[in-house]
Amino acid sequence: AETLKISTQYPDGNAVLNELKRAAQAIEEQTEGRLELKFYPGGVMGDDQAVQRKIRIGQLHGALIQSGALASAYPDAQVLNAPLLFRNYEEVDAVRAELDPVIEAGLADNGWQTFGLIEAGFAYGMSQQPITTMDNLKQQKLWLPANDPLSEQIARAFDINPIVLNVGDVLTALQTGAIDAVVVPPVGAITLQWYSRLDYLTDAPFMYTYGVVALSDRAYRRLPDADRAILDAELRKASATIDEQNRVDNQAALEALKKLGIEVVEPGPEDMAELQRESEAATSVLIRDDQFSQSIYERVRALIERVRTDS
Amino acid sequence: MNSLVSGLIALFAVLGTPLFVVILAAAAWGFWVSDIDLMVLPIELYRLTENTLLMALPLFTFAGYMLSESQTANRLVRVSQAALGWLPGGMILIALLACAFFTMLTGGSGVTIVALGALLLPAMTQAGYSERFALGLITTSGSLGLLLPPAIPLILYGIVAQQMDVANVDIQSLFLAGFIPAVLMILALWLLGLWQQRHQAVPLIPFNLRELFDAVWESKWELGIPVIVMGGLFSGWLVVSDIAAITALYVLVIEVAVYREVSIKRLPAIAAESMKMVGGILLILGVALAFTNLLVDLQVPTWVFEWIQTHIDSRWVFLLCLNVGLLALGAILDIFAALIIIVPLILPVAMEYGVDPVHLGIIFVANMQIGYFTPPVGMNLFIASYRFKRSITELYAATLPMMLVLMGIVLVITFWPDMVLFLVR
Amino acid sequence: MIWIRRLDAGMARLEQGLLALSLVAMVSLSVVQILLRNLAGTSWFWIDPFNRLLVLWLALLGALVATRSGEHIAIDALKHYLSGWPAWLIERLATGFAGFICALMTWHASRFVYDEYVYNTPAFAGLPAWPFQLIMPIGFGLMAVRFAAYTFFGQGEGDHE
Ligand code: NA
Ligand code: NA
Repeated sequence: AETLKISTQYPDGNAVLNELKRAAQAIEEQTEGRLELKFYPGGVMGDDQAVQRKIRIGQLHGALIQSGALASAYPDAQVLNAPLLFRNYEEVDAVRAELDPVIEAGLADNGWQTFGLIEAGFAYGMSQQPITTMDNLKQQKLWLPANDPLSEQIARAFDINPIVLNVGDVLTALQTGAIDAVVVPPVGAITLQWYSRLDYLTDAPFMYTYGVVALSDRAYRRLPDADRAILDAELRKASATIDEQNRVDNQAALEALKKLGIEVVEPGPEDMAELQRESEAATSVLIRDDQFSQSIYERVRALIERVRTDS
Repeated sequence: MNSLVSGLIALFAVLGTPLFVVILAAAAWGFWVSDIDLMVLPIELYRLTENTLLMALPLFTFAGYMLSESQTANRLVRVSQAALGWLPGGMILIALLACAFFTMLTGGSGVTIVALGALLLPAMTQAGYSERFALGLITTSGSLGLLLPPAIPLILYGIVAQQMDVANVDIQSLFLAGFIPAVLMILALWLLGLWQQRHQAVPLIPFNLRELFDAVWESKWELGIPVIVMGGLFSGWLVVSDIAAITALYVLVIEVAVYREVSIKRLPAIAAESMKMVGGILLILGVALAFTNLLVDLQVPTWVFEWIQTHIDSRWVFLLCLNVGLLALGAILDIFAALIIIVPLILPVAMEYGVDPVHLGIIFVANMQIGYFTPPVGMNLFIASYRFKRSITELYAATLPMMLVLMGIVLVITFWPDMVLFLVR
Repeated sequence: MIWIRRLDAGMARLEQGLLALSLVAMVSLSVVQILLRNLAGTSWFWIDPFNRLLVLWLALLGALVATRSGEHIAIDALKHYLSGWPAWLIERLATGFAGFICALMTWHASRFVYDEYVYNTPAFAGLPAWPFQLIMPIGFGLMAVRFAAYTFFGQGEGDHE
């Protein structure tokens, strides 16, 4: 019997892991025990870099991993993370309908077998003072995660000087005032308790975030065709389920944040236009620095424009 | 073959092979048997660079070495005797509070023993306590403050629990719940000290306000250290590694330029000496990561707790077994690894037995705290053995009474949830 | 043999110097970062990852110096009850075993660094990680050599601090 060992930062008992375990059980039953999936939750195998090293040496075979972690294999996967790219989920769905297969194929060509993109949601700017203009934004003591090259590049492109901390230090830093703004999906703001130290949410989706279940090509190719088909079907089903559930959860979390006293502020039309302009300028810096290619970005923009003119 | 090699490694361990070699050998053998590329060993060692918290270890240690090179211990003795010399066991209380305070900041990875040990050991023996008692007390107290805010283990527990959608586990509740047990432990060790040292001639000193004032004035610069630490923590300097850096710089300045008890020429030697010590500890922590990873890979913790779940049906028996299991795990696993691996496994089980999740967090950390000095492999025993140049067996004997007392407290914590949850409700 | 002694003494000075330097760098960079954070409301990306790498350097350099002066943390329960040739034999066996394990680690750490070079893992500020990781094979390699020397020639007399 083959065993695929898969790492994730999601803790045991979390709904995401439960869904993955359901898929694992279905796979084991359908392959009559020939193929088993073992999960290593809660980041016990280390951070994204350590996990990729372990996949390299074959201790692990795959991971549920953030898109940024696979950027070194296929940079264009990061195009969906461009700042202020989307305005709503309608645009996301339109783009993803066409781009998901492109990204998956790109990853597959570079050694990573994936089973559908898994939305982690829009990350919003949340702060202790309202942020509605670019000047507001630049005045914030904004947190950025340590060891996250794309965030680092985005901050540079915007010419803002953020404060870099590990995720675990953020709550304390908010309490002490060392930082006063973060960019985070609503579910994260609630589970990590950050909302308790924040007062405002800027109603402009700053960044779209997603992950994938990625298996190393080497481990994947080793499997017999029949088992591979079963694995494909079940992991696709699980990825789609988590993808949908995460959207529902994030929308619920956004409503919950409002009930918890977070005030939603909206930039005026002029400020919004300026934010858009700055974001596009930042995006061209990202393209110049090879964070993703001009061609894929233009393709995404064209899709978004089509949605915007239709509506 | 497997047991032969395990036996051989154990033999080399007792023959005096460096501990990092023993752990590395055990991990290497385990991975070899599991058919995993041994490149996993350097990959795990490199994970030392994942955590900013570890920076506190060299920085606080250097500060501690600087303090121990100067007359700080004498000044500390003078202040504490002036303040609490009239109270029986005053110096014991000072030592306990100082250690709890330091551990609270560093999470208990041995910094306390390294940084404060060389200060408190002479201070306590000079005050008239027996050396063996002082050794035991300091070794035990190296993990005493883990239940006090802002100790990282409780924060980590809260985050893990919350990500599992367990209700009512906010971090403030954990901090509040940890307070009474921590105070209880300090008081219990103080009382133990009073009883253990009842035949020891520790003269009481009548209280004199003038003497207290003079003593405080003499050590006013060193008393700035807790001010920096507390101030940094509650006002905006935030992370522990920052506070450690500021403390290191501050101590350097006061000992070299203000008290002038350490010459600039001595500095490189002190730096090298303290870092030699830290290097030894860090390397052990690094290879322990590899060994922990082996256990994780083999899913050993999962088996242990699945076994518990199927073989135990009473809540009280479960809690008792939980204590025993956590104690054993605490003695071999790093506390953060233990939290990340074990909490998701036992929290659902515990809740089925009707255990409050906040209560469980306190039980968990309290057991891990004792695990730090549980023979034969508690980390603090090795650190103390190294720091005080004493044999490990001497330390087993010295810490035994304290361990029994703290186990008693853990039982009280475990079986009297209302006491733990009193402040939360 | 004199030149070996000289080389060894030179290495010892170099290691101790690097140790002290790493500490100084860690303290000053942390303080700079705190000042930036609290006075200028900004921070430099590379300081934190660099400081975390320094932790690794401290671990290996410190352990290397400790190897030289025979001051590693060990469970030496048996040693206290033995003297004469059994003690001699045990010490040689223990250091021999340590040398073997360190050599094993040197080999795999070298493979690790080579892999990181091939995959071009970044450290910070666009720099590659592998030069910073070299301390692992070098540190374990030197420890292996030292343990081997102690196995065959015994722990040097004049080398203790
Ligand atoms: Na610690
Ligand atoms: Na432990």
